[in-house]
Amino acid sequence: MADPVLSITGLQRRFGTTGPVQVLDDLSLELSAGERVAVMGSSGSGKTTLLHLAAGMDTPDTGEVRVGGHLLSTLAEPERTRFRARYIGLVFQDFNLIDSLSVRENIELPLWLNQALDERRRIAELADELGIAALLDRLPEKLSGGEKQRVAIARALVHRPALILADEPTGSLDQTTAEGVLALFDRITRQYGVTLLMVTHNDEAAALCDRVLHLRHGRLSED
Amino acid sequence: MRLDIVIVLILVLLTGTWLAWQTLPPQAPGPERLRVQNLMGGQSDGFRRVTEPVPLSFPEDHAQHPEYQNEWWYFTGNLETATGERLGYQYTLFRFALSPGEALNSAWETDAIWMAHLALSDGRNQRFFQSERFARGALGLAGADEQRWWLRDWEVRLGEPAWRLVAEAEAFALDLNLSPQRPLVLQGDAGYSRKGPDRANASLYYSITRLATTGKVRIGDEVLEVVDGLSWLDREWGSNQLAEGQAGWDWFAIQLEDGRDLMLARLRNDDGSDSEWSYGLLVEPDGSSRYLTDKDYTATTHRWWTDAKGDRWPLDWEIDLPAADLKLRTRAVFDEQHWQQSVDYWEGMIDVHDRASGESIGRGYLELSGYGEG
Amino acid sequence: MQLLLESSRRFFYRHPGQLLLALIGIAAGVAVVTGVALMRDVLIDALDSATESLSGSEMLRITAPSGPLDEDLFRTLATLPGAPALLPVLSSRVRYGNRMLELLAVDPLSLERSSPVRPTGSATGQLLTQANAAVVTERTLERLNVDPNGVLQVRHSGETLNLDIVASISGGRELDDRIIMDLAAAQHLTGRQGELSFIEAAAGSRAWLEEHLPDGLELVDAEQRRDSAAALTAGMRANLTAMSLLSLAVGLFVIYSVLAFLLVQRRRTIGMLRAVGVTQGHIQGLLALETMILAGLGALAGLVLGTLMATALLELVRQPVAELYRMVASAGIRPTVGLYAAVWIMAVIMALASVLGVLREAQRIPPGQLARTVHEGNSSGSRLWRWLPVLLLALGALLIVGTRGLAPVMAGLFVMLSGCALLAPATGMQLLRLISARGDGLVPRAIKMLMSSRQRLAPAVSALSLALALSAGVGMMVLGFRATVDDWVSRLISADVYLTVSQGQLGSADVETLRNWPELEMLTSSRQVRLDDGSMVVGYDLNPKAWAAFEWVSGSKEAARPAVESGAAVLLTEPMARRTGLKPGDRIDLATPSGPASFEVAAVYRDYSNDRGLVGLIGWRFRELWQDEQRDSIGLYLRPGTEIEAFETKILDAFPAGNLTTREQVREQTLAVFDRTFRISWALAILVGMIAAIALISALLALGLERGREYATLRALGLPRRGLAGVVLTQTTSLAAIAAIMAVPFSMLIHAVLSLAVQPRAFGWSVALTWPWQPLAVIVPLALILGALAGAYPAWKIASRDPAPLLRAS
Repeated sequence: MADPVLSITGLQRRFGTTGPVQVLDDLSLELSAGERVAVMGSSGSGKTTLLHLAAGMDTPDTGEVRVGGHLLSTLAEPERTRFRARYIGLVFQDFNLIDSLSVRENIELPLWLNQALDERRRIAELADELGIAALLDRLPEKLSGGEKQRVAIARALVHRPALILADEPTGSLDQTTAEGVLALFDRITRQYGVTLLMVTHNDEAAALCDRVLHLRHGRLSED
Repeated sequence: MRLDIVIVLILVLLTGTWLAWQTLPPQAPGPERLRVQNLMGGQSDGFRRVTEPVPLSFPEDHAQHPEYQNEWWYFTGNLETATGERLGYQYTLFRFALSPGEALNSAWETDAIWMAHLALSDGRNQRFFQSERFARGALGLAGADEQRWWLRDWEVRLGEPAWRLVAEAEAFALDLNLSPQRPLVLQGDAGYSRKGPDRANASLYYSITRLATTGKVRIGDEVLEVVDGLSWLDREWGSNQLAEGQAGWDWFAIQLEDGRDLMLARLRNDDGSDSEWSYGLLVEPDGSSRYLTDKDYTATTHRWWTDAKGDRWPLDWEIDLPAADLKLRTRAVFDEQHWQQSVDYWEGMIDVHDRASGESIGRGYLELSGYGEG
Repeated sequence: MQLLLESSRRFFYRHPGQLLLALIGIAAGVAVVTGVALMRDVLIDALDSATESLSGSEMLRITAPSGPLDEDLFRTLATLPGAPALLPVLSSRVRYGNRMLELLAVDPLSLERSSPVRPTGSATGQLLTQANAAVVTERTLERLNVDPNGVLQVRHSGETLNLDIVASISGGRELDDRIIMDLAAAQHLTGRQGELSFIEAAAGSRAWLEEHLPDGLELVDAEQRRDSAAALTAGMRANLTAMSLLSLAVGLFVIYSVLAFLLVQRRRTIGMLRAVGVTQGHIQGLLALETMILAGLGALAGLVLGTLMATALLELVRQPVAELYRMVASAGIRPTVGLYAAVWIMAVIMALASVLGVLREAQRIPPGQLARTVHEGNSSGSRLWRWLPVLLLALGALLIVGTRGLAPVMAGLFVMLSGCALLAPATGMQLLRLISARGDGLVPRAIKMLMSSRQRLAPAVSALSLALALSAGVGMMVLGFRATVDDWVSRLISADVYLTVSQGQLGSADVETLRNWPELEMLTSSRQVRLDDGSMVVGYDLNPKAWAAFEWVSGSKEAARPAVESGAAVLLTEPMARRTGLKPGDRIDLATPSGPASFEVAAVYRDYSNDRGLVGLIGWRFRELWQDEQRDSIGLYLRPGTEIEAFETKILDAFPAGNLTTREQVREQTLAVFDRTFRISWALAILVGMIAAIALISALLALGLERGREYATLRALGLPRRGLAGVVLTQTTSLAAIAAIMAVPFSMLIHAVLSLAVQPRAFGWSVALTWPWQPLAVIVPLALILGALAGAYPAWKIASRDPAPLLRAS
């Protein structure tokens, strides 16, 4: 059997120095290729921390994070950054598009960061898939919330990352838009065989995943 | 209030204060006072000293004596206007010689500092006017010769038959004719006036005790006619007159209605006591005179006056002179006859009464020095 | 309101750097204005303050129309009946190292008792009897670094005087750099026997003096003296004022940019406050109050800084004033409450005016607007707005070309610069966009990302480009002017060497002697007399070579020489002609010691030695009218082959007190004076540059804060730290580059206006327009380095920041 795409073992993360808060406590998780997992939990349960650790934007106090067999948690910061650019795609709750860059330029960013600008044709493909082809030369500030999130999804996928990390992707959208975006997200992740770790407290978002885990008291449980 | 706001307010206050301080005009130190001790005592190297009688001759000795360190021409007088109102005046020319220095190629070179004091006491409303001037003894700005004693445009001309004193200050002016009524009289031992244990603590000293005085006095814009008056001239020069331990003097110049003139110089020690070197002179109507010593008279303070600065001045006196059968009470015509320019002293007109009868028997001038320098 | 204030207080707690920059920005602008205002006052009070502090203020001064007074006048006046208090003064200038000091000789016994030097003071005796005794203030001792009771060695007319400091007096800043001596000693030392410079008399004695003063003497009151000092230094003060206003403008850009940024930062808060019912009026009130507090505090600090700065820079102004106008200005500034209050109020009002735009923007924030990002409004839509810069430039140009005065040209320059300020950001960004439109590298991307903040950055770009332009423009003007003066002086001095001696020792007889020397081919000589208004009359004895050295501005060169040599006509310098409005063919009346004389103006020639102007007269006529046989200098033209060393020895044998100055030395001395005159301009240019640097740093800090989320996103997407630092550095450097690029044409504009309009109107002379490139060669790279340096810290700070917290959904 192939290595798991994401393997987390014995993860501990505390915040604060005086009376530290144990956010993650001996947490373990494995995602195999193509698997889509949702992590649910109430606000402040540590979902985003988990995501940041998985993306290498944060380092655990103890425990290991492996992505595609690489031990992320022991890499130095520059390597983690480079690794993130190469292997991970990120979707944020409030999109985090760069306002001053056009839609096309936003989607292009990961290609640029991976020195893979010759794969630009993928932008058009993805834009077609996501129904944003007409928006490519616009600036993000002119887009609706749903459109913005589709751009963000395109940006997360364009460089064919091994792992997509999504933080509350529908959190800033209204019900109808959220449904549309979710359907699209479902289709596109299937189509591209994406391995997905999504944190959310939205049941509908969680429903598109293969597995739903709950984060309570710093640990994950199945029910 | 919050601490940070307090800090900001304090900073603002400090800054404001600093800025305000910058706008203050620079403070010049207060004027310096001359001290009688320094003027009359101390260093006199290179100057001639008075140690014995020197024959005096006139008019030559009316002129300045540059070989001596200091010298003055001192007029005081009680005047009466056409309407019977009382005025008093003082005009003094001082010469303070400078220690000889290098020869300077300049017309401004001088060997002395000249100072003139002009004062007027207005008995009508008890006002005292004073004006002080300095000049160098160069370019004809100040000097004294046989005919003229002057500092810039203030002058006394020794004419015949009368002398003329003309001096104009901003607030007041004098234009007086002075006619000597008596020959000049030599003080002390034929003009040698000793004031201390050292023979050199002495001056050469002569007086004209009565000069009939008329003329004009201007006070502000008002011109008053002087129809009657008596002036007194003291002329004195020497070097290092005051002895160590002498603080100043109380000087009386009294013209009695019976025709006698009385001068008393009560020298005071640092501790305020009477000096044994106090002296005096009694002039008879015929011009003959008698030298008085410390033993011949007593003078006791009857009333003290305290000035605005807090210095105390003995303005009223009781004087006993048994040999002349005089028991006098002198009283300042008014208190504020106080000099407050470069020198701090009191010089003003006084009334003289017989103690027994209480009647007015004369007028005079009182000079108090060495009280306002503490 | 309390609540609102509390919220701004919290904000500044979180961003102390922003607060500090706002305060520094306004403080720096106010400091320059205050400093310059204080220095200006010194220039006006220069003539008066010293004697005023000795003799009292508002005194009347008795002077002779030209030259010194006879001391007999004092003797006569002082002994006349009813004479007022009179103070005789003999003023001489002496050198102490590089400093010019005033030797102020008085009669201490004619001083008032309240004077700092008292007639009865303990030093008076020494002053009166010692030939070398002098009194100075304690501050002067400190400034000159001389021991109390030490010896002050000064030079007067080529001789060394060793002055004994017998006392130092306190107070009296006006007496700084003055040496007070007794008249007798001063006359003895300086050889000025019989002379007085002037006599001071109490203001109330005018009637008496008018009655008793001999004919031909003048009575000048304090007001007239201040007026003439003001007129004398008008050009210099105008120069300073313009610089100070421009630096205030730059300071205001700083406060605008900070406040505008604060608004962006608090958009959410304001939106929320509006949502819960706080009115627009309240919000605007809050922002206005905030501005007032910030500007008020900053201005207060600026007053302090300005006072310190004026004290520090005063020397740069005093020295040229001493050299050019022969006035030893007081060494201390004299701030007044009025001046402080005026500057403070002006600063606060201007700050409020500058943030009007911000207030309007605040008004547009709808209730409940929670978005953090700023949508740059389409404000370029207004046509007026788009044409405003062009309009301003045109109006400014009109003001400059269409008027004759100095004030309108300053106003015109100011208006034009406002136009430039508006033009700079948009044009600069356009340029940058053109450069970076293509390409996939980090630089174009970084620049593209910068574009969305262009409105936010506009004030900083404006401030920076204006400041750079100002520094470079002033630098170009000074260098261009210097080249003109160099050219002029090199052409003018035609003799091989010039002979000068201590005052009053070269006369017609000496000229006759020299004429017979075999070594000499020709001679020229001249004698200058200063008139009351600061202008000069020069008696020239010229040879054909010297005549040829004149550069004519107007008038017929051929006709001028015979007319002048006949004694019927005179030459005017360009400043004289401009000031009086006289042209060749007009007549000019001169008050001479022999009575009024009228001349025809033959021609106008170029001259940069005196901005009040010179009247050139043929020597024999001058000597006749002024009864003055002396010569200030004799120009010697050596026969070819003359041994210069041997000749020098011979000259010094014949003139033991003589000095020989070669042509090259004259040129060097002239340029040295020139350089000292413009040191203050350089200093102010540097100050303005520093304020601009503050503007830049504040803009960059704001940029860092504003773009924090974007930068974090890039990091999350995998941009390495170094890459991000590169982005930030690229952005800051390109910001500086925009400013620098725009500064190039602006500086040329400033240079042209200063050279072609301000110089002629302020000083009366015209300056040839040349284009010295050096200032630009310094300023442009300097701006880029500054941009990179100013960006380095935020770049490092931003790049090392952990992206995770910034990305958490807010």
